[in-house]
Amino acid sequence: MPLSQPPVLHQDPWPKDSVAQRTAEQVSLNYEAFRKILPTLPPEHLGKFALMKDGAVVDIFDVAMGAYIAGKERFGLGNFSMQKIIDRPVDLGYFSHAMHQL
Amino acid sequence: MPCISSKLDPIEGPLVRIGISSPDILLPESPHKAVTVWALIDTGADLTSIFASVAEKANVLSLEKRDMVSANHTRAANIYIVNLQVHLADSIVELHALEVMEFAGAERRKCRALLGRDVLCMGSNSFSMANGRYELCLEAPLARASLPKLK
Repeated sequence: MPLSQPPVLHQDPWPKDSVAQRTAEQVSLNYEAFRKILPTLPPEHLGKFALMKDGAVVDIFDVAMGAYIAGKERFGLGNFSMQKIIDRPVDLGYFSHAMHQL
Repeated sequence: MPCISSKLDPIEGPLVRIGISSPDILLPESPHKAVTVWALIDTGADLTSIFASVAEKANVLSLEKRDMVSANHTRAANIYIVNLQVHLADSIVELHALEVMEFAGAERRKCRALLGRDVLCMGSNSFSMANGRYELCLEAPLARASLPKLK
């Protein structure tokens, strides 16, 4: 089977001060805060999703889409992020470990 | 059940074409793009993962960072919520609102993504290799396809 060629790189990335930029700021801020908060969260929240804004957990949801929809309704896109409550890092396996050498 | 069966390339591994697009529920102001790339079927990967370049082309937005372990350290990686289309022999199986992780790999390889156990172990999906061939079968429609869309 012939291989399809990758599409042309998207030429109009998100503009500065856009939703994407504000979201990236919230993601970074909330990720750092979440690492400190994680040990204090009750174990029954493991596997759920934390809706976060400005470094604080504002609610917990069973699924990512629940956190997303609530965040958009309460704060607007670009003004929140979410974190899965998980106590171990994701492992992409041995292929990803060695891929830079292949 | 929709399947794909192909000869195994021992250099590239078992590959399948996938499409990545941003769910319209997430980016109503963004033009929707479907980016089609080769994915390595990887039973060793916890999560389906895409190159950063694929995320950029598909214009998907990261709403989360999650720790990932690599060969010698743990680092934070972007998580995206995407619509994933898996191209099988006679059909395309679409998974809506799937979490995928960003990872860095060698661009000289064919694959630009890993299809991980989150998809391979979902429902009655199956993957097998024998006699120099591999077969991937995916249940369709999958449970995630029924998520509501935001107006």
